[in-house]
Amino acid sequence: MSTETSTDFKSYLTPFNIITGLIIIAGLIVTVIRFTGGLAAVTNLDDNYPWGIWISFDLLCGVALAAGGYTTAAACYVFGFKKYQSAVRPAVLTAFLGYVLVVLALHYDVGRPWRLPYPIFVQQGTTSLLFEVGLCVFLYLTVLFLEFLPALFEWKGWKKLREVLVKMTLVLVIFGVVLSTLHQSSLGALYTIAPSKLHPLWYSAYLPVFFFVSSIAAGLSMVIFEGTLSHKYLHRMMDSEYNRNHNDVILGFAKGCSWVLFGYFALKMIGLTYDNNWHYLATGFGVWFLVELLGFVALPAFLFAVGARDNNFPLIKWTAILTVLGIVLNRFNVSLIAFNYHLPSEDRYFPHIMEIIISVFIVTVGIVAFRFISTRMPVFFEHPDYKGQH
Amino acid sequence: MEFSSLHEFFMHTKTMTYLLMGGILVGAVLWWQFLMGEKRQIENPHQTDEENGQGHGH
Amino acid sequence: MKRRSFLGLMGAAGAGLAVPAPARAGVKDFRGFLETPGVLFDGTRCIGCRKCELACNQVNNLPEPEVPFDNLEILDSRRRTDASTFTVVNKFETPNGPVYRKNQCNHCLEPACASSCFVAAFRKNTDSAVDYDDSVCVGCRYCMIACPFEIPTYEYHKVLTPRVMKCTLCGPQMRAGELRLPGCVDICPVEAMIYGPRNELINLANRRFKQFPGRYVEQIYGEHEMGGTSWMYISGTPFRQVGLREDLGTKSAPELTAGALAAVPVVVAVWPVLLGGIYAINKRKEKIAAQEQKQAVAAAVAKSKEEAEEKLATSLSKAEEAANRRVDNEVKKAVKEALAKKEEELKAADASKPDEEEGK
Ligand code: SF4
Ligand code: SF4
Ligand code: SF4
Repeated sequence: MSTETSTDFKSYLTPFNIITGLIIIAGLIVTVIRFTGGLAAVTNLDDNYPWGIWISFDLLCGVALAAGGYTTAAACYVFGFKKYQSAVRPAVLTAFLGYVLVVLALHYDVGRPWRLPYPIFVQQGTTSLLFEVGLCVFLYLTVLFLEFLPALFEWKGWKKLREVLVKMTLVLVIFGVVLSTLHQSSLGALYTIAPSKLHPLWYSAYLPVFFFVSSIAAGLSMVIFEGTLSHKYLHRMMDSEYNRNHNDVILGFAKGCSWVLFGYFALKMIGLTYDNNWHYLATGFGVWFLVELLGFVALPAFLFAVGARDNNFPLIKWTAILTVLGIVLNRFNVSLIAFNYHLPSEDRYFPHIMEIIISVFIVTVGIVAFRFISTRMPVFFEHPDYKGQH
Repeated sequence: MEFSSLHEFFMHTKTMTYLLMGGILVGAVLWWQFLMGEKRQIENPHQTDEENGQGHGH
Repeated sequence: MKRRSFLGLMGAAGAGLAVPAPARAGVKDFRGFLETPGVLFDGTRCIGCRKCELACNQVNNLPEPEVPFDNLEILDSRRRTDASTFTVVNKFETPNGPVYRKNQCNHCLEPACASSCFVAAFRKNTDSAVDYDDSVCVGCRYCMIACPFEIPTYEYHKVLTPRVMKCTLCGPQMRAGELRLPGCVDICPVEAMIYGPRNELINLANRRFKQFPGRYVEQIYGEHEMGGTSWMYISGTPFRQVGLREDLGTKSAPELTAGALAAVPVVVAVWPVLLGGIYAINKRKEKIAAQEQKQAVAAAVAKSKEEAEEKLATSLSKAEEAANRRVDNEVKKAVKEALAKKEEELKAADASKPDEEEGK
């Protein structure tokens, strides 16, 4: 890092930095418009579509894709897959940043963001599933922060504080799983209140279960995906311990993900049968539903299995991307595409360009923060002072 | 207490349940510590009586 | 069991199922808003004059609309409530000519908006009005997602103080004594709406069904829809033809989310037990494995130690033997040497003796 500070300005002009810079500038401009002109100035939201892509993508997808934190931590500390140890820190960091960004995005989306603490501290609407989501996200953010703190303390060299937190690991991990189960499923349960607005193929009393189980698949796939990405671009920050376990982790997670996707597929079939929705499969929405179910659930389940059996790492990587896309597609289907399916097409919503800019801006901020932290703190490597003591 | 709608009833019971849940989480941690706190050797059926052999025969 | 009585029982059970039971087993039944005020809208009377829209705009001090209220051409386009319009009248073409229907908040008995709000900003008042409190509203707009009648709207254009906007049943004005009836009900020139206790409105509707056979679809929209509403409709054409959805079902919002909410505390109670259990099992396995490994190591160490000792002992004894042998040899050699020396001396002495004697 000392070399970095001495480099001159020109070396910062990498393509990565230029693009990031442009996105951030655009994002800041839209931010100003949003907070001086109101929601109407930057969004296509209307009375029929109170929730747009800031909810579909930033909240629903963001939370689902940050599920790697609790799945990895649970696999390692609760289920005893000790060899996944080296994957925990990157996953927890991603999850933490993911949730921070979700909360950041909510500040753009809600009408009066300074009141976001109200549901917890002022007046509790406990009958609302959104209350459940809010409370859990708030608590889980705290848990993730505490889970990640040891890395920060190791970086700073505060051993005493680190000790205290490391002792609490198990409690934090279990709390994390409880809170994640709750809010991942509650995000799906948000829509159980609106059976008349969501297409029957996607509406189900099992929505919370669908969301929870698919979040596990999303989390595992994200760990695989990020693992390969980081492996490529942040290789210099990884120690031999991380690299030695990397392949093990990928194979294990591919197997796990295939198994979970099998369960998810089964659940979706149960949902179809339980509500007797088979006849909808012959309609346009039915075809779209099958595309999602077969192309983005059944197919990746199969490909993961093949990849894990044959040690085919490129296949596993691409399947992880397919799975992640599938989850994103599912969240968009539930919250936008199959939502308000009864409305005439001219009343339907399409995101405003500025909404998209904000979403891209927020993801970019996340990537920059991840790079900043993982190139400084012991994320991909064990701190020399604390080797082997987790 | 009188409730005029299911919604009001739920608002009451859910609030109470949330408070209870907080208690359960704290309770679970304390109970776990009480349960697991005593540092006793795990009884191992395959263990040969090596350390346990002492104590008689003095 | 005799066949007749069995059938009789079945019949009784069947009848019990057919009549909506007042209190279903295991389901708590709340009937607090069955006799509080409501409004009955009669679609066969409404003439689409938009006077109610005007009155609503005035009593609620809403901004002046772009299209004035006396413009009836606007009825040709389908409209919905928005942030400055709490109620709209829409025209529906039917085989028997145009039919009009007024739309506004239905003030549900189990409001989905109230059930969904995470700061409990909505409250169904004792006068049936579903009130909204903008002093706590965060603006998440989940209420708008939840409302099955697509009523709540949002002030998207406001920067600092956006509010959810919807019909108030003129509750605030009536509680303050400014109004005796909701503005829209009061102004209607043809009495298309009646304000009164909900149970009496239902009776009235049934009386009209009897009085004018064939005039109505003999059903009251809002009696059971989504758990029932305080604002109800009767109509001469099927409800779906006047923009009222008939596929909403009778399950109220709290019932729809009850399952998901009930699962929450279960997860809190059961997950730690399961996960803690799994953790403990794994820990135990690990400990046993570690112990076994330790024992194996210890045994191996002990064994090799014994062997080493044995080896040492034998090699020691061997060494001793060798040493002893060497010592013996040395001693023997020394003795031999010593003896030889002595002998030599003696011989020498013997040889010199005669010399001495000679010398004497
Ligand atoms: S109609 Fe909609 S806004 Fe009105 S009380 Fe019912 S759920 Fe709430
Ligand atoms: S927008 Fe306001 S009133 Fe509606 S659910 Fe959110 S906080 Fe409640
Ligand atoms: S009851 Fe009052 S607020 Fe509601 S539509 Fe009528 S005039 Fe408007």
